[in-house]
Amino acid sequence: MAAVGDLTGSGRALLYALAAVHTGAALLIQRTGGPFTRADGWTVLWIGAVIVVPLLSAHLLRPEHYADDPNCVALCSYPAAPVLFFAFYPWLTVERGYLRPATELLLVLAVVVEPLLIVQLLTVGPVPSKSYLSVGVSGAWNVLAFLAGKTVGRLFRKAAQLQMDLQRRDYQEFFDFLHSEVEGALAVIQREDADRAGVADELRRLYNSLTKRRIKMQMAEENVRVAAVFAETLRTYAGVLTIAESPRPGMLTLPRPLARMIQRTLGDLLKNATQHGATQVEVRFRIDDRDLHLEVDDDGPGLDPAVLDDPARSLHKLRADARELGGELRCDPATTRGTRLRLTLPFPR
Amino acid sequence: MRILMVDDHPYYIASVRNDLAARHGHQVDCLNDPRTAVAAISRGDYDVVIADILYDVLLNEFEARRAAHTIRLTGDELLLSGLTVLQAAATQGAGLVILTGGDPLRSLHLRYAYEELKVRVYLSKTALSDGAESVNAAAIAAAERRGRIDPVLNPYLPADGAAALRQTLLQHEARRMIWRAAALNNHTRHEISAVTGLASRTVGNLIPAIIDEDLQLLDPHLRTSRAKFNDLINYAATHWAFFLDEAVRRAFP
Repeated sequence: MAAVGDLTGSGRALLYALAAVHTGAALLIQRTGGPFTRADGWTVLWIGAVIVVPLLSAHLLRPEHYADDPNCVALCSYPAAPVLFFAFYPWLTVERGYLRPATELLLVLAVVVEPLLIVQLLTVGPVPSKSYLSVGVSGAWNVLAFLAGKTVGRLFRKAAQLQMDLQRRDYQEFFDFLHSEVEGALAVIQREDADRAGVADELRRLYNSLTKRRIKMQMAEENVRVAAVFAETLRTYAGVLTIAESPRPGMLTLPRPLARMIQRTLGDLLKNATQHGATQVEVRFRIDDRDLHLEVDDDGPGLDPAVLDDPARSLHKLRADARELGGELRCDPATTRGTRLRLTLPFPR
Repeated sequence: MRILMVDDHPYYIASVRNDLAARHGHQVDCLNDPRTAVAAISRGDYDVVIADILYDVLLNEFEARRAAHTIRLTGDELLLSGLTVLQAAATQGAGLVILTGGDPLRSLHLRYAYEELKVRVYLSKTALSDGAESVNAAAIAAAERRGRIDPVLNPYLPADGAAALRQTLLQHEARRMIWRAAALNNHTRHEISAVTGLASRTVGNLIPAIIDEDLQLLDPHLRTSRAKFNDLINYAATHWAFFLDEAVRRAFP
């Protein structure tokens, strides 16, 4: 195998520069996930490195040293790692599935044929048989790397899919358990035993714990279903407040921070309404071109808008958190009776 | 009034049945699975049918077969649910009530019942703890063809003017087959192709349309990723009980 000493004068400097660039790139890839996680056009970077670096290395060597080792041409192992990762990653989406086998075939051909072309170009006169052997062994290593990447990739994807299915099934089973068994049993107990001292309060506490658990499970998703957020939060107060109006957000999903903010705001406002003697609430939700709007009206004694400026009150903290997300929480002054609180959050497009 | 209640937790509805009979004078039958309920509906003369959506025994049995890949899209009976019961009851002219806790797994069922079966009375199971009064009120509303929607379940129903399931997820036969194949745990284009009989290339070509047209129309605010196939698999995995519902398959083969 060619040693650093076989390089031309400027070749050494270039080799060290390449080593430095690769070290930097490795650190960057370790941080960002690299071009494959970005998929599509970024993959060209990887293919470029596989093809260009061996060419460059051949150019820097003395011609007779490129394929003088029967075990491998100079830098023959360089393409092996990128080819392996190339085969491993699912870097193209299914709608352009045809592109993947075509690109893979071209790349494998390139890493096999490229050393042969280099040898032909560098050799004056007939090519020695040991050079053919060197090229053949190099090609075999790279093809093996490709096959290893394919095999490991397939195994990993299958394992990841199975794990995801398992988690989803566990999640659903637990949800169903809460839904059917626990909630059902609580309803029966409440119907039969609610008159006994303390039972009603204890059951209400259990119901609320159950609902909190269901909300927490909803929030485990990266994109949270807004309908479920409303349904579960309203469920907590269904027995305490008359919900005269509730929204229909359809199939809308929101990123977790926004969904959490909506859930927290709705929960806090309903709790606030209950604590201040309201008996009925109306909950509205809409989306316009830029923002999400949540509106909660209650028929309580009315709230002084100044409470939002009082750091000791939870509504103040709620408004600060809404502002952190680029939104706002407002309290409309009471007219005759009741309070209207409005949350606005920027809607991500 | 003759009422049929279909729910797989008999103790859950037994006391409600007694109250409905004793306090309100209704004649109430209780059954615990959709198949016997459909037979009873065809024989009986019910004014109102109150049905839960999903049934644990059927759900678990079907889930085991789904995990074992032993379900075929054609020929085999898919998952029986409350939608089958309500479809039979609607055919007999009975008033319809859905009784459910309400959770995301059931959200498309609720939407389908609203749009296709015109169910307008929805009762949350949480309300049962308050006694038979809410059930009685729901049954009367259904018999009188009035709407009565529990505010806890209302968020799952479609807003006015929203695109219907038949205009979106259920519109095209080939796309429905892909949804069902994905819901049957087929996670690659080739697996979906083998199950549906569609060419692998056709499956690949249809997936962006399914996500960008059907799903986006159903939810104009839906955020999809660049990997459309993953979006399809994830959505199908979340709503598999709907895509593999027998009543939905019969109405939209």
